[in-house]
Amino acid sequence: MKMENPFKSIVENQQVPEILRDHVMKDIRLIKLALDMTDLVSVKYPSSIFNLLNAAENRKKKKD
Amino acid sequence: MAIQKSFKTISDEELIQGITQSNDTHLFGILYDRYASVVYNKCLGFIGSKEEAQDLTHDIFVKLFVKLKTFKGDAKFSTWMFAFTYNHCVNYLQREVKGKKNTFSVDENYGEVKEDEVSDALIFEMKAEKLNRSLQLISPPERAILLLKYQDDLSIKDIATLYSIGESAVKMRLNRAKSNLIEQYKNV
Repeated sequence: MKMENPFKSIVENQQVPEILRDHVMKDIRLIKLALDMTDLVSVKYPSSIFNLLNAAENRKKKKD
Repeated sequence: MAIQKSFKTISDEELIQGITQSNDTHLFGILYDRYASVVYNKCLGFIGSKEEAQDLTHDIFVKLFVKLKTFKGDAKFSTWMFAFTYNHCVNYLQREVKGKKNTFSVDENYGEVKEDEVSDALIFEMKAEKLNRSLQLISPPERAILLLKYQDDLSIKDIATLYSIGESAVKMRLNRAKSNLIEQYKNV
């Protein structure tokens, strides 16, 4: 006879409160905003300034 | 509508790839809907309090959004998620215990535990209610490894991969956890 696993009988089966989803998603959106802002300031802005300076330099070289 | 439907049917792995590539919060919402119930009930079973289980579920999903990149696909996502949940619960309990300047008595008794192989039959003979109470009395890391093995049906190999330890180390930890569980079960 196969023995029953008692660990399977102690599995909880409760409903997750709906409000929890709103709280999680609100925090996730905040984190995403923080990540995007960090990316903008530390990667995208420096990269665009670098490109701008390079373009200006190239134009100056062409004129000369 | 068609796009929304396709998101609902894609695999966990594809979903995770989408989230990690663009930090898409909508896709993360789908992942939340798939796993919220499992995570909440695992926390509830581990901690035993609804309020704490809700807080832990919240924290686990927020942490998951940041840590999702660390999922390498070595194991199934659901398996990885179980371990991620238990790790968070274990850390939470250990932090709480440290705050109270207390230690788990089971850790102190490690040296006394017999290293004989503990048969699974002894575990399967246990009564569910008594087992539940005994599980609350053993240390959180031991509780986690027992739940991974006997409730979530993970193999020794899966557990070894998740914990980044050898299979013999997993067997040893499982054996110790079973010994302690049986010891607590006798006293409950």
